[in-house]
Amino acid sequence: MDKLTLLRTLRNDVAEPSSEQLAPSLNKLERAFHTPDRPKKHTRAPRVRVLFAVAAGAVVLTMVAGNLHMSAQSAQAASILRDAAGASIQYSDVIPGPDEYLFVRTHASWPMDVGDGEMRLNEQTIDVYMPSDPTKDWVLDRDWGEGSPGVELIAAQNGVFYSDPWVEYDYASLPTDARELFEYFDSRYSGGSASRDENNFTRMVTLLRDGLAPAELRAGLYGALTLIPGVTSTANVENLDGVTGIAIGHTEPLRFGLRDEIIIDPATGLVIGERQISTRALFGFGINEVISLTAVETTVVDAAPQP
Amino acid sequence: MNKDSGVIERSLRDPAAFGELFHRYAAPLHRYAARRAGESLADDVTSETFLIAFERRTAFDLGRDDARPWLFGIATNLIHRHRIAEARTLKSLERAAAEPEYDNSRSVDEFVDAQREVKKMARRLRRMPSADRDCLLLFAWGDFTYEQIAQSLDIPIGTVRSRMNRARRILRTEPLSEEVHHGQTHFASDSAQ
Repeated sequence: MDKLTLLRTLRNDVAEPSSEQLAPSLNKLERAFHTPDRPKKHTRAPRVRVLFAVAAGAVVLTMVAGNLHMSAQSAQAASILRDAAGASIQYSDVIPGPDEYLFVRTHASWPMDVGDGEMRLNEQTIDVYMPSDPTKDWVLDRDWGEGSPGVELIAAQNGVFYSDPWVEYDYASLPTDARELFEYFDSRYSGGSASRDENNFTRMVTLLRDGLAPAELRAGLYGALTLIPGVTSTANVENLDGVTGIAIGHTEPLRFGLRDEIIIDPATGLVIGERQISTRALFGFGINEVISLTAVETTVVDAAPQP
Repeated sequence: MNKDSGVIERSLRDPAAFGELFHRYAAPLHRYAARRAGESLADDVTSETFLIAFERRTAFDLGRDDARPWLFGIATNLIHRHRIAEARTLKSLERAAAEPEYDNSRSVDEFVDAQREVKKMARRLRRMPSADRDCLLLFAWGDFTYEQIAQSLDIPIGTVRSRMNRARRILRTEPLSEEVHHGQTHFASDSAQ
């Protein structure tokens, strides 16, 4: 046996860790996603920490104290999502005509890493122009706020503005039936997030977030969300632009009560934003403080800016 | 599957997207750290590696598709903080080779020879300059190419070649004597002996 082969055998009996063994490391990392100032040696205090208070007048229906109450809230969320699914179908899509674009503007306030372990909220606007023929050039007009590279205008076939397509899924390849969609995501769960439910919720919301999912798929996804245990609703939630809708969310007990929500216009079934709130006073956040907030607006336009 | 650079780019607007890198690489990175410095330390190294990577993700070169060299480079630097633990791990390997549990699949002579080779190898590895050991173990245990090692340790590829040549020479030729004198200062600590 040559030396290199022998070297490869040394401590070769050390196995890869189980997901249970990795769970504490993953939890620490996931907390860092939502923690503006990670405790570090020799670090300075955060420069600025801007947080939104929960919109006044919002009726928070989800802070519940018992299983019975939770069940009622889940049932209500299911009912709301069914209505939203119906509205999606009823209003169908905003469909661009020939030479027009489906235009989705995302106005976001997200925590940004500003170096040295410091985070602060940064506002971005992300304008995506999807042509009526999606194989033609898409356009991204993006203002990163304080983030690098500042402002950029990119045209790219199939929406590959960076290294991957803007829309990660091939919509046509997905089922549209709620149960089939739920099983599609649930069967592809690969151990991520703090729980299976949270991961299923997150992946479904990722698909809705871009505002480009067609009405039939959107309706199916709303139905699929109702199949995730513990999904509940909050009425009168304002998005970042002050437009009010119903928030459908999942509160993750294994993530210290962090709650992720998608905000829907119940009248049209369109996604109008996202919100993340802390439901417990932890990591410097108070109860119901908003950690991140967006507004999503979907319309048709007849032209896109050209780089 | 999305490239790692795409995942990191996405994590700039959606921090939680960074979790995908953990799911891709935490297990092999943990195993690499455990082979070098022991299982108990591997938990800390893995945890700290991903926290540091997350904090520094804005500095990641998005022109590089593969984040593995970057992550293993961070882990390697963290392992340096625990030289005694690494030395202790290699030392325990030497002891295990000196007191083997015989399996009857081979002749006694073959078995003894193999154990002697393992003991020599573990000692030479432990006494090797840490810079050479980093290159060698990223190559042998991490399955990295020379180019990936260069990225990982942020050194020119020519330096990787010279360190690998030196490391291989040490593995082949360094005597087993306890009295061998080492002038360099970056050996795995002998304090674990």
